[in-house]
Amino acid sequence: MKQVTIALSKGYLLKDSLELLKKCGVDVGVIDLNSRQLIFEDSQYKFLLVRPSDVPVYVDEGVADIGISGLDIIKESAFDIPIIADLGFGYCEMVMAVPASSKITSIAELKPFSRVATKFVNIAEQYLNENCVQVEIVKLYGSIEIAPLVGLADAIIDLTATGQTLIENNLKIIETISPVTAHLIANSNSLRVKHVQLNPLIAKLESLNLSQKKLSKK
Amino acid sequence: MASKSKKIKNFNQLKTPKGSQDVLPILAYRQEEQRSRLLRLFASRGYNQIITPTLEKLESIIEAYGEERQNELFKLVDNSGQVLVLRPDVTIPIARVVASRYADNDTPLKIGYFTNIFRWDYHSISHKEVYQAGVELIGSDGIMADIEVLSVLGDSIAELGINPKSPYKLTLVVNDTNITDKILKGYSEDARYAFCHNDYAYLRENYPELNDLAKLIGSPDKIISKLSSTLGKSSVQYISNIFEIISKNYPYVDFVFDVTMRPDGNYYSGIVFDLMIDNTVVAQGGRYDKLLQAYGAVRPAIGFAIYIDRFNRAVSHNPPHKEDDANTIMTIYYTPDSLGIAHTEMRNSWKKGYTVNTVSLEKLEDIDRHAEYDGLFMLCSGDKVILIRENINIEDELL
Repeated sequence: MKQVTIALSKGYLLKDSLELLKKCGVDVGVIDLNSRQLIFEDSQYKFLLVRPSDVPVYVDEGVADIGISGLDIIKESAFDIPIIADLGFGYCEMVMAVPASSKITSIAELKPFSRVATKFVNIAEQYLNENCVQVEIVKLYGSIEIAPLVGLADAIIDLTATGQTLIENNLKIIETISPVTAHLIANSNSLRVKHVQLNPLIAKLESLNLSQKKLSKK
Repeated sequence: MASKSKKIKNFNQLKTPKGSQDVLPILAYRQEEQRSRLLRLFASRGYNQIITPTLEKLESIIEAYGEERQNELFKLVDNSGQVLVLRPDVTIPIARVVASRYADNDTPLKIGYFTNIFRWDYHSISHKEVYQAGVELIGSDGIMADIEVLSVLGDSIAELGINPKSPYKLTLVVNDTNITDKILKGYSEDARYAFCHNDYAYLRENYPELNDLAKLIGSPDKIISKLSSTLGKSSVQYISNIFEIISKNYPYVDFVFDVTMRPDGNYYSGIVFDLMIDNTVVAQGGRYDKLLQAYGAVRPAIGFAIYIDRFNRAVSHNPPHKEDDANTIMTIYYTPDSLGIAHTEMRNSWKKGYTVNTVSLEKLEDIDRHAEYDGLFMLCSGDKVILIRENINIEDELL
């Protein structure tokens, strides 16, 4: 029996990821969340607890057969990885926001010399291209919300779950780029070499009908 | 060897360009060995080596390589302004050779090669200059041609030291692109892309009828029976014949039928295959009857390429050849008066399979400045070998 390696995102997706794997018949008992260990394994599964943005790297390189990560991270990674299923949890939205006081109400109104601050450079670039808007992108690693407040950027592209942080930082949403949920990705070679293990797991996942599009939006 | 990390002032300047690497002695020796073994094997099966230029004209390569893959090419301009590329592939130059130099030849052509190729790959952390070995069978189609090329691939892997006792899992993934094309007939580019890249989430949302078919990756018997009920028995007859014959020839290989395998590059038309060691693809190939048409020659063709670097990486934890073992390095120390015996011992050690390292000493006492190599030692003085030991402190022995 071949062991299946699963890369899991540490942090807010982890609990739901484990719940879901359990529902799919994957025994996650070997994982001890109180320990600082990052690899847990039994004869059937090996679990890697990694930083969410690293999940696509592990899966693309084939050191993990499958992985769970947010769609934002998967798209941003720009790897050509099979996206197997929408897992429905971890719902949030990728949005564009500007200061609440700004007169701008849509992406088309951004001035040519504007700057957009974001952690998601690839997603931002693609969205700007789709809208035929050419502005400068400023890459930041966190606290994106303050960029427009201190004059570093005119708008931001970021994830928001409830919109609360945006409101508290005096920002308003002008565009909803896409909904984002946790997704299962797989290494394309693993799909072939471990089809005996992975096919039933994928079938089970699909039978659970998790797609967020079927859930009512918060 | 002692491996203390030294500070090198202009290290950044000395590094090789991203994606390239120096091939150092042990690996270089192995690669050369692989080269001669494979070229000999290919020749024994009638596939004689040809060598095409490193530089090709952009216009002649792009025709077959595909405009959309432009940005994978390393380009340079010669002094007349002509844009040249470093060959990104060997199959395309060979097709060019066949169309230009064997235009009148209607008999099947068999060609082998072992060479480096250059491809820029933005996302992958793999190398940009890699080595490929392979064969092309041109002007021959039908099941026997396909089987022949698959059998040369099997022999090549055996020649590289992989055998039923090797601690690796070998998987041969096969598809018939005619089946994939039949399934995808009339579908949009997006649907085709999602199907061939196993984007089940997207298919499920947008093309649910393709989603089940895109999961047909598995043991040949199962997939064949499922497909023959949806597409009709005749669609899967050819590939089922292929599996039947090759399963007898590759007793230690797992077979997988993957209906979503449709390699990039629009010239594949028929059988395509990937050979995997564990979960690394180490060789790829297939029938590409349409490629020669791009050069105006209507001839069927099939071939494969082994990715030498990926192969060596895939087997690096458990190399099939013994020269990787540090203990098989034989360091021979010799003094001016022992030149004769030292040369004889060097050749003997090399013939026995040792990696030979030689250290010339002006006088015997100088050995304490050199005695830091791992592996086996031999010390020659006068007309005889005075010391041969493994991992021992030679200074102590001498004093």
